[in-house]
Amino acid sequence: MASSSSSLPSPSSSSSSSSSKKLVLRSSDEKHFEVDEAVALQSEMIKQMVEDGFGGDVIPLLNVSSNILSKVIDYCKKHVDFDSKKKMDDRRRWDAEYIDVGVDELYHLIMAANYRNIKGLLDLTCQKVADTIKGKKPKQIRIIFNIKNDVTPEGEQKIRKEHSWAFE
Amino acid sequence: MKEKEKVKKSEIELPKLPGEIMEDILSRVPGKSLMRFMCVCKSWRNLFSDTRFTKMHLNRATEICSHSPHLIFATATKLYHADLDSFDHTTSLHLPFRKRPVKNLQLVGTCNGLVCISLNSKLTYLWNPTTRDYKELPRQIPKSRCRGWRWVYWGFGFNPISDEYKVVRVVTFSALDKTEVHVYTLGTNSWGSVELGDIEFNIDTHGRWLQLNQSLGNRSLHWIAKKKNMAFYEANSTILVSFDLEEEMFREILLPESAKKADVSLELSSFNGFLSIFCSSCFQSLEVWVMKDYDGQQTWITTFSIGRFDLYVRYFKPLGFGNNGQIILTKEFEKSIYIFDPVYKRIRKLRTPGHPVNAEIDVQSLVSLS
Repeated sequence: MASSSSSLPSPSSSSSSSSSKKLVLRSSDEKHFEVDEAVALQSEMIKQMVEDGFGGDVIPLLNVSSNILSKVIDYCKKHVDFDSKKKMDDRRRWDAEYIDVGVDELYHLIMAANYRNIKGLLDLTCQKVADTIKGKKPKQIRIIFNIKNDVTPEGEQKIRKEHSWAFE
Repeated sequence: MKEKEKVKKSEIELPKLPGEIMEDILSRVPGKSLMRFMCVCKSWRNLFSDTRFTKMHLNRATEICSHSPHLIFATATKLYHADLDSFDHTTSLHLPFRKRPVKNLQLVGTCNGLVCISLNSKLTYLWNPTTRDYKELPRQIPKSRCRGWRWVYWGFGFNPISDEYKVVRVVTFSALDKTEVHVYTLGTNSWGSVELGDIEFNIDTHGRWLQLNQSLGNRSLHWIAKKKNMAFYEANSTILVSFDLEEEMFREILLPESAKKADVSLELSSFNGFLSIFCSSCFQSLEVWVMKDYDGQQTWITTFSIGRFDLYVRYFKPLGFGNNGQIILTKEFEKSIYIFDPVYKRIRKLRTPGHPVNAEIDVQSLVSLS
């Protein structure tokens, strides 16, 4: 178990039934989210902060907006549940639905997962991008990632010739 | 699948991602797409030949449920590839080191996206069909101390401890009751002999490299072998041996009881990263055993069995597991490959240009041979 900071925050809300420890997270747009510690600890970054004794205060997440943070919390909540039940099929189905989002949201989820160091969510989001791009042509890839083409036409011709199989 | 749709700018254009995230994403893209993406920009092209990245890509590819594995199979003269996800057509693999048609091709084995093939029983090659990189093995094999009629069987695998790929050549002199073992190491590009002493079994098939979970110390080749001094039809005459690529020695692994019967034929495979064995009885029904404690007690547990009425095919030979526990089968003398789903009891058939003599399930990797 996490080492523990003695001063419990017990923020505003009257979290009735559940006796588990709570943490408060603050998004970049100053909204507060109270979550179970187990949920928040899915994030390696928050885990580290709690271990370092910051668990008693409000944890500020400067780069994460409230709508993305609530989506990230959804993920962590669900996965705390999954971890205790271990139903692979359910998890896969839920993940697939969860990640069916627009590019903009996907981008922010990746950045949030990276910043807060949530391995499962980072895996899920990166895999989603990989699955989206795997069938695409080089030209399309350059547009998606906004990459400048610095390969000469001769260079490209050479790659196409040597790896014609990959272009079929 | 061909994709014709154009990318609409507004629809899919990601803001700049940090470098390590971009690498993470690319490490999840199948090797074939990455070969195409070499045209995207120079830095990507350099990245794809960087050892650190190729290792990361390989690790992802061998993780369960990550990239889809594919099937490489050999007829007597050609190699083919089939995507296990779509499973709708086969592609002939052009051998870059061979101009003339091949008379006798043997698929020795696959490991981490590399293929080992022997041509006309003389030349042996390691080849990465994804990057097209290849290497001919030196022909100077250590001289045999024995003379006479010999059988040669191969194995090809990876030793993660020394980070080396090895080709094992087992030569059996049946009249003399002698076995010699030669090991080729890719790093040093040379062959060496292994002192075995007397061994109590005969090897009569090619060894298999199985993609086992890395925690299980995945560094051995496996062979189904026959005990010496026993007739092939006797119960308990078949044994399973592993060849440790680090220590270069054989060990026997006990088989499950039902695999010791005389009338079952055995095929090795890896099931979700565990050593597993197909026991087919008279090629009509199938039992699957799995070993989850390879490093410990080595106990076999039975996962499922399939009766002949479930399988719809007779005289089949199981090749291994595809995605989600599907079983890949071939049928004697038939030009096709089958995928059987044991959960939904469904079978799919793919016609092949020739009869698949041998097949391996492998990943697409960028592993370099130099």
